[in-house]
Amino acid sequence: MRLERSTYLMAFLFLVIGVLVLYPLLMIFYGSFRSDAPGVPGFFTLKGYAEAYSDPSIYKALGTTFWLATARTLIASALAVFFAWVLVRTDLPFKRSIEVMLWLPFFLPLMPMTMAWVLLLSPHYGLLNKALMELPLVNGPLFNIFSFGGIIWSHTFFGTAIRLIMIAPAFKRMDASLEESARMCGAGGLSSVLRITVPVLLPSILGATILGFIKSLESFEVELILGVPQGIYVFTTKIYEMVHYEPARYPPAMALTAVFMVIIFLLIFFYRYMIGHREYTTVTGRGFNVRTVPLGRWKPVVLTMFIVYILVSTILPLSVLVLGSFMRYFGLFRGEWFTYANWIKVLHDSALLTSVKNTFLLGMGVALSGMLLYMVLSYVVVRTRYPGRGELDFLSWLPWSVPGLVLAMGILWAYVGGVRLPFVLYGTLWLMMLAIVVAQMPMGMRIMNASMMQVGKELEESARVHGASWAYSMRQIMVPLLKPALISVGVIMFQAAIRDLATVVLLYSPKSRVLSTLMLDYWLGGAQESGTVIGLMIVALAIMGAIAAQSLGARRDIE
Amino acid sequence: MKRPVMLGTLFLVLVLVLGACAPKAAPSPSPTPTAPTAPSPAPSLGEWDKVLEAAKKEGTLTLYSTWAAEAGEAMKTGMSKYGIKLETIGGQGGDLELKIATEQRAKAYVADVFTGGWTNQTNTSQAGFGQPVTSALPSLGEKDVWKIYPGKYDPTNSVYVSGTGVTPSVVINTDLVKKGEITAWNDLLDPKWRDRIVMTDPRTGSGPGASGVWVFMPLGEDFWKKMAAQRITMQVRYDLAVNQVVYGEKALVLFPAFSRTVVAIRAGAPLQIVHLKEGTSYYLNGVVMVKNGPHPNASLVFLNWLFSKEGQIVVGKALGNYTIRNDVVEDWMKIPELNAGTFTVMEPPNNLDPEASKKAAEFAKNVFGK
Repeated sequence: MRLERSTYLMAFLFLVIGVLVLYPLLMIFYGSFRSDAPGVPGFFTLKGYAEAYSDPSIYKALGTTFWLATARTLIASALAVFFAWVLVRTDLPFKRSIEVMLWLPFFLPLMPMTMAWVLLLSPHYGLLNKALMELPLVNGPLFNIFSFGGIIWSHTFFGTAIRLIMIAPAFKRMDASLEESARMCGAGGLSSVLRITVPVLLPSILGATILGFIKSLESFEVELILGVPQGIYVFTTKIYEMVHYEPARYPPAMALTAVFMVIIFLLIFFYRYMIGHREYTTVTGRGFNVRTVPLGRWKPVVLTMFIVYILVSTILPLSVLVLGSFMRYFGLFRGEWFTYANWIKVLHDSALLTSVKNTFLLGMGVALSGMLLYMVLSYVVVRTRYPGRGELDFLSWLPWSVPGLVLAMGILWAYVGGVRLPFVLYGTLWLMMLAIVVAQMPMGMRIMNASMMQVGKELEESARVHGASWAYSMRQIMVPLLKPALISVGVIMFQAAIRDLATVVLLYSPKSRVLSTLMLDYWLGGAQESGTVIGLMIVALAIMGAIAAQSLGARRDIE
Repeated sequence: MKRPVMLGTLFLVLVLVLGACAPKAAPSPSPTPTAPTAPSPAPSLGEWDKVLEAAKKEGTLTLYSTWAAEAGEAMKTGMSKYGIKLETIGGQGGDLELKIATEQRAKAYVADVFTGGWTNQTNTSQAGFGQPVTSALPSLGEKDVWKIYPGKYDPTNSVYVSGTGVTPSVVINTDLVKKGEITAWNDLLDPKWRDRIVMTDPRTGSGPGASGVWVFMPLGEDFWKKMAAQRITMQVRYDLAVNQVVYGEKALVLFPAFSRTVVAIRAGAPLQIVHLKEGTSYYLNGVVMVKNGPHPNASLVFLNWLFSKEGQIVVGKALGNYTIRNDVVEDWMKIPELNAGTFTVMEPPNNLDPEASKKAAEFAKNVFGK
């Protein structure tokens, strides 16, 4: 009877993942063997593959993609682990406020932020470069945003923030007595972190690092703005060209994504090998110690370091954005450059109210449904021995096996151009919600999995022994212990929904317009400054979401 | 007790949220006036009244447009007089073309009308997603008012010309380029301009870069290869191409977006449009009514308004375009920024060949590399 119930559950979950994840990806795979875009009359051919892989520039772009992703991943992961440890394990003052500020770069819309960095760090007109050139011994621009270094720089703060969001819950759930024991046995502070903390938190750190690496492989907006004008191409800008240049070449673009799939498979196997069958339980029935490490005389130094980091990563570019929204031409300080016109224009836009309402609905819907879905999937994967759970986990990685812009096409072809549904899904918030839940599944699942692995099974088992039902033990034990992870997932889902452009741009209609698409309307329509106003509204909404999540977490901690 | 209540509340919020999402220039440099091809006969008033009445009942019109940000509000005001709420979806032409194609194939019709340049509209029509206008529109029945008759270039009555605009060949930063230093294309081959030129990427096959290269392809492959040797920076994004010259990173830009150039000049940027002696090109703006659009009558009312004197003034002014009518005084084009009167417009119009942009893209890829 037990087996039967698990079989039904697994069948249901496979059906859900099959429809949500596999179906759009199969449409892309199918498209790679067609002579034209899916849905267009054509024939089966390998021409797409031949065209894609006979171009020598593809291999150069592939090499660039890998080394850029590796550099970004190493820098951001190291920073995130250090930040998480300091914020969770030490007595640094203002920790909660600092953590929220460190999250911020993740919420800032990418396109305006990249423009802000251009305005600050362009070798010719960068405001920061100009300011630094006033210093003695500085004769030329110190930075060039249009370079490999500029691309890495633009990604670092965003990448660090997302890794921090993913890693911090695991640190919060780790028993500090493990580190204390190491120190009592003579290990130094750094040694105990490297030999105890990092290995114990390996699932979270490795998960965040591999996810970050995959995300680095598929990013393209920054590379398009900063790299392409200098002849720096990555894999995704090549795909972007194929899809956006006339005539659009879908088959080779789809064929190129096959490389992504292979890479992802290899990374997943690597991740699983590293995780192996080791035990990562840190939260047990014994309760756990969360005592902090005193920073002592290092406290002002570490605090100053965080303040400088926040100023550079967030305050500086955000200030440029705010300033840009009041300018007649973004970044042009000539004549009467100050104006309220952009704000007035946006505030009078009849589409604004609908967009705000839709953005909020989409954000909340995605956050709540994502939390629920990923928690159920993760529970089955990590805490049961149901056959097929490994495959389920493997499938949950797949949305990131293709670049975001290609996944959006797959979703469009699958849910709109594929099977005829008895109701209209295209152009509704439902479809956008579904697309974002699918697109964010790898990240949501990794956060949940890592936290699930840390919770000892004896907690649940003892509740069951004392007569608690499965639902009761979930509600009273698992959900409270997973609270930091659930909040992280909720925050990530909410912010992804409100700032994600690539996933929703092909799916929305006037009735489901959101702020990110309204921003794009302005931006591409030649009104960058008004687009910046919308970008700031997105930031405000994201910050409110983050503060609300933090408050919820704080209140529950006190309880 | 508190936690179950909280979980219950979360579930309720989720249900409510999901429920809420349920679908429910001086002498006009405009092109040489062309003799209109036979205007449609004006419909009888009763017939058009019926269209107006039906459009009012439809109540809404969904416009996919690359002009959304600039002209959206003006067009919304124009349509509100007919009791029609205009809803716009903006974006790049290629994305909008893809959206329409997908909607059509899935029979999930959202778009009613698609406006923008000429390439994507022509592509949409050629893919079979354009709706030929069979009803006679009152404005199309007007006689002796056309510089360019809207249906002149498409015998299927599917893609219409709605206006024309100037594509400046060269815009200079006056802090970096002296007046009179560049007057002809050959001036750009001077080694001093190496690494100092940015260009809107013609290899995309759409936009001002592609149409500009198409017009000046007759300069010859050798000439363009020499230009390529100047190590021109290619920008896919029109705004960034203008920015680079505004901020002085580059000395000059080839084929920038006119609207963004004018915004920059008006904001005090040290830019100047330079009209080379070989002439200046212009582009066509196109409009296509989308097949099976959910608001066919509202679409007809929009097209009729767009071709009317009022519509031409409103949209022309918002976009900084020339109109297709000769009964409109295009005051807004008499702007000093354009240096009107100092140039001649290339003939023939640059992108009447439906394959023009694609040919330009292939040419550019050959010259500048992929």
